[in-house]
Amino acid sequence: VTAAQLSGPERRGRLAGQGLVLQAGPLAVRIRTPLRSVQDYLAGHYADFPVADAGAAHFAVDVRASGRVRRFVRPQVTFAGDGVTPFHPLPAHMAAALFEWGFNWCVSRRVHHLLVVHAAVLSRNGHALLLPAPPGAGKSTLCAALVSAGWQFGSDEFALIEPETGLVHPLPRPISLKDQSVGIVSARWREAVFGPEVTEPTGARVRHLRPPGSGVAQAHVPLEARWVVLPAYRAGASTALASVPRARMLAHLADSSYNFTEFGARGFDCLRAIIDRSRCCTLTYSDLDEALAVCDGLARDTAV
Amino acid sequence: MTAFRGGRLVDVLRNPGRLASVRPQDWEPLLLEADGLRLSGRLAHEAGRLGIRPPGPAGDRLEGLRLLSDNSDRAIRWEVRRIVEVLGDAGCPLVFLKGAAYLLEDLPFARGRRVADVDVLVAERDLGRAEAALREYGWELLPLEPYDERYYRLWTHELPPLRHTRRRIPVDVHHGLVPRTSRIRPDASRVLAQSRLVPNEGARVPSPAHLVLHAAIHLFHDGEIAGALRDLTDIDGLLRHFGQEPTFWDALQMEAAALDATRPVFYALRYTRRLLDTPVPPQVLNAVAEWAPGAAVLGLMDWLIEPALVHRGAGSRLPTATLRARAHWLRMPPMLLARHLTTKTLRRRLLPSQAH
Repeated sequence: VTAAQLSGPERRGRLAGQGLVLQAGPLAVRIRTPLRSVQDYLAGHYADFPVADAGAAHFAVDVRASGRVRRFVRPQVTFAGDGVTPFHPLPAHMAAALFEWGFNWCVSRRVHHLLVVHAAVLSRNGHALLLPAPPGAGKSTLCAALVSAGWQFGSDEFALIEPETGLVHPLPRPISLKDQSVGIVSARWREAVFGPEVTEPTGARVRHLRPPGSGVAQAHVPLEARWVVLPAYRAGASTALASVPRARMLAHLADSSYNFTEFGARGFDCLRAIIDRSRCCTLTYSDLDEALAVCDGLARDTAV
Repeated sequence: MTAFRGGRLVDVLRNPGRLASVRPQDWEPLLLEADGLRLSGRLAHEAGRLGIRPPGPAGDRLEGLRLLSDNSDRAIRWEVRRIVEVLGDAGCPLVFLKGAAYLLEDLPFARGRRVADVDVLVAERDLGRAEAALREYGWELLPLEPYDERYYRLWTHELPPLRHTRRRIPVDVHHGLVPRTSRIRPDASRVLAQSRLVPNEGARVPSPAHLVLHAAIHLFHDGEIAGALRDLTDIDGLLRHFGQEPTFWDALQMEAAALDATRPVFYALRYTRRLLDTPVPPQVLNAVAEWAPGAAVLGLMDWLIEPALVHRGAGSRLPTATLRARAHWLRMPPMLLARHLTTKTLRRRLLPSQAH
């Protein structure tokens, strides 16, 4: 049963009560929110996510109205992850975005059985392309463009890696696009469905893109990493693909991980296994079509 | 909301075997409660020890908790060795207290018990040398308001917290067991004198009796009782482990009298028994009965302690507030207390950005 297959009242009842537990890739996530705006957002953007069996969740995401007087005057919303409230309250119209940011916080802080790396994940024929990149490198834009060009969507934000096997689990949540990226992506992807626009505390305008159903349907299938590409969008730059020494890419993945040190030597061995079976490059680009062509070329050339 | 919210958790702490019968849907609330009371790592290790591996997310969470705590233990052991090196070279005899000591002694309940900071005891005359040595080798004082720093140095039993610039684990260097201002004055030199060397670690820890006494003083004299179920399980674990040693109970009673800590020991034995079924020999119970407070106070404490121990955040506010007031009262004389609370309150009101 998926979230969309529950009746509206059933779904809203669970969300407002004990929580709706959705299976997001390898994670069972309990979601509680009495807010209609978030409930409606979930009904759309998380429609294809399977409802998990009764039992424990990996963590609980809670978004609700905060304050007393504030409920009526400029209402605000608060996020709690497993009862912890790490953020200041935000204006009520940002509730759906707060849900996504809270979800991110939980994945980065509350998951300790998988290696969590800040990276987008795409796949072809069961082989994964990891895009580990700092904010502003164009990771999410490239990710959405790759999906529109036929890559299977794995994850926008996190690669969840099994420490023993190095297999990468998809986490196909909505893609967070900023400012002009929304226009760039919707021009390429006619069926794209966006959530409400919000302005981040940093000033960036953000919209969340609904993940494609095919990616969500395959979220239970772990992937073998084959390419690790550091994207770097630079206005006016010509497209260039350059190999990166393995040691440097391993260090970069470790730096991009939220919990690498928790695994000790196992974490190192795990990343090493990924690097050893992957082609490691940087991709500098300004022209998105050329960048897509380069990724296609990588996928066709199977030699590591 | 029921008054005694720790029911289920206390149940499995008393009898870890019951973890085997936790239903799939009950793991999440149990772990949430344990997490709020800093006992989730302990629970995860008890489950692991008993071979209890629930399928799905609950099992993943237990595995993650074990990983986290083992990782933290490794970091604490490393920090301990660095401190031994530096203070050893500086010629300061030192003893590790509380969490670090439990870890070094490899006590059964220490697995999964996350150590937030390393507590060290040195002689008061060595305090300056210890601070200088640590600061020379990369530890630094956390930035503090001048008032707070003065408060630490004048009135407490420890230096302001130190932290290594790279490893960032807080290190509290104590020269006493309770604040200078406290109503009781346990003689910390006894703890140093009777400390024992942990084989293979090169570090010293207090005698078993002193470990219990220190935990009891901390919990029942001047510490925060609210949400401190973990600290009660420490005492329970110490008593279960060292209670087997033939000389332990006599030493405990003798040192309780010597350190002026008879009342905390009375409470410690009473509430570990009541909440956690800790075995205590009957003759010991008879002997410590004379350390009890009057019937009215005891009745009040019985009523306050249990809900407060499992309290975190909401609920049971009255017991918590009452016990906090009691701890402050025991920590310093009335005029100093008034001055301290006035200063803290004014600073919080006038300088909200700098409030702690």
